[in-house]
Amino acid sequence: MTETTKPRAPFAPWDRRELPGLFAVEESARRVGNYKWAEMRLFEVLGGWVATIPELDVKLMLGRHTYHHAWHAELWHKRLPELREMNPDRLTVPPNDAFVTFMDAIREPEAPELTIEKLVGVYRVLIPRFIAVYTYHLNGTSTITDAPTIRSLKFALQDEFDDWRDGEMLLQSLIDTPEKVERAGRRQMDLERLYLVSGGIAGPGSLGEPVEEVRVS
Amino acid sequence: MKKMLPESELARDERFVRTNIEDRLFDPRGPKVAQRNTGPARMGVDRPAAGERSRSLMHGIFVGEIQALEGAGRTCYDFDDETAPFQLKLDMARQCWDESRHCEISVKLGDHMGAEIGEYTESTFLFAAACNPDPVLRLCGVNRALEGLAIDVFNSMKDFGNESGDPVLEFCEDWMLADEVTHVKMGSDWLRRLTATDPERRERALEFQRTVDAIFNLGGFRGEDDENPIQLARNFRRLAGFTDDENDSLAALARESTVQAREMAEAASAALHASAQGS
Amino acid sequence: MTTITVTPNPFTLVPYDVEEITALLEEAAALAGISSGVDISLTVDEELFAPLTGHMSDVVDGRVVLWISGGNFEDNKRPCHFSADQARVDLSVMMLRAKDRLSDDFAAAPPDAQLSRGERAAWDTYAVGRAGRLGLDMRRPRQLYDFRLQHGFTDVADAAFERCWEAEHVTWEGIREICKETGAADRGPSKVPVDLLRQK
Repeated sequence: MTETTKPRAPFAPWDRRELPGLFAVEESARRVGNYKWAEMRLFEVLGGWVATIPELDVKLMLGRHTYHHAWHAELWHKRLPELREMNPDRLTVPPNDAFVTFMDAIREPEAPELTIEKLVGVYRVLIPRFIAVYTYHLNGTSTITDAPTIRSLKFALQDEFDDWRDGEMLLQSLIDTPEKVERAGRRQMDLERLYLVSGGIAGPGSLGEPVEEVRVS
Repeated sequence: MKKMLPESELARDERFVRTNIEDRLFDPRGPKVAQRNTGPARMGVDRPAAGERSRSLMHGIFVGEIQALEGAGRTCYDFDDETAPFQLKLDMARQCWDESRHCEISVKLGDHMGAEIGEYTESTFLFAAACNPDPVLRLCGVNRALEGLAIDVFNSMKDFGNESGDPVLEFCEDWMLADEVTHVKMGSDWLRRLTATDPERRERALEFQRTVDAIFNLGGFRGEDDENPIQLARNFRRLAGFTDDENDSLAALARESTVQAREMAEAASAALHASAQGS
Repeated sequence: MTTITVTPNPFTLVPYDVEEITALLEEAAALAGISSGVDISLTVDEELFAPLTGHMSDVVDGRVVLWISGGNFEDNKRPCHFSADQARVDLSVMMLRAKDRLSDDFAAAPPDAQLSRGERAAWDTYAVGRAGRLGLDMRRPRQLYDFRLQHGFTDVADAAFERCWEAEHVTWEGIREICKETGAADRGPSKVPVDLLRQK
């Protein structure tokens, strides 16, 4: 017979969640708005690229990933009102102009022979940074008060890891000459410099303390 | 990357060869064949060249799915946040994933039938419906006309799978059919929502859809008679949100298109005959 | 001395070349092992286009009488254009079946227009399998699908296909046995004449 009146602690002994977290409601909302903006720009361009990419396996993968990032944007869109932002569009913004410049550069390649440039931008620069900024948020936020964001972050991260692997493997199979290695490297370097200027998906402090302003000539 | 990609710029690998409807329309053999009995147009194991006709159609479905994927993808990209609501883009992104799976399924079904990628030519007129600069018209062209055609095609293929005892074909077509019903519903819902206060825009969108539907009837390709290879799937169309009136008018349009095709064939045949006598 | 006749001569609707087709036919006859002295006549229906394909191989009074849809020779990637590779494959299969008909093994076989679809699919598989072993580029999955359409999508049908494909020697009786085994023989007669495309 189960004893129904015996008191038990609200937290099981193995449940080590704590109240404090790095982000107040406003900061969490600001970041979530930045995530949504970036995920939106990403899913739009993945969808747009599908028609410009001749490689069938890449084309079909982008069709799949377009939805993943749209779904992340939707998760953040739904989270915003729960973070006291009743007008989600107000916070659906880039962190700064430099990040817009970075995303414009990611979205720029169009010609069918530029698949490597397209994929490097997404799978070697942007998605690894999504993984980083989501992981930072996941590890830093309050495990009790911000649990709904954590749940969404975990879903999104699972996709990001899977998508990163898909994209990286296709890139490795496409990069089959030293010249293409250089192309991929150049593209990555150019984009990383732009990203550095922006400070990240959530702006300076995306991964913690704001970094010093960086000038790239 | 620019907004609005013309169909001529759709990217393909070297296996794909593009053709246009004119190639077939001006083929001198067309009128001759139109006057002959080549068996029931409806798919069936008893009709002549059943295997080859199935492979050819399956390849057409495959390239059609690629274009549907590309069309949905472009709708995610071509419009800014004001012109196309966020939720509409989410629906289009979802459709990208669905169409991507349909491409994969079609490739596997092509393998199952013994077809090879690029074995047959590709006509990109389906994508043309996805080039309209007004998102409502585009949605009507793609999600109601093109995806409506997909409902008819998949239902016909499913019936063929059932009749031929092909469990793989029947299984796959049924799944794709479920997705297409969802896509048509999306189109119907967005048409209603985006034109709730603009009846003139709604009428323009429906007119565009009728134009695209007329093209998709393809001179008797779709209809409700034995001479139409693809049968109008009224029940599934109803599920997808088409009214009975809409289905009736589409059927009438299809009949008209079949008659026109027959008349064109007869006229061309008469012209050929006359020129042969003159020479 | 073998006489080869190709009709029409010349082609008027499609730019097919009689000399080229004649040469391919000679090549196919040699590949199939048709004895010299057997006359061959081939009628190409140039009105038909892909995918309205089909061909027939009969023997009439010791002569090989062939009929083929123009669609069989058509390059799928370039409508109206002749594909020598495609023609080589189909003519070889036709000649292998004609060779069967010239032997006692198929003496009892009715003309192609009277074969059931199941019988025809089994016989084609036997011919296509041999053509592949003679070095032609044959596509097994394609033939398997055509076989399954007439014999069913079952393990029994697939096993029968395998035997037809691999066989070096099958008789008309063997073809009929296969149809009984898969159940194709129990199917009612085709609602559509098997030579419908040939009828103008």
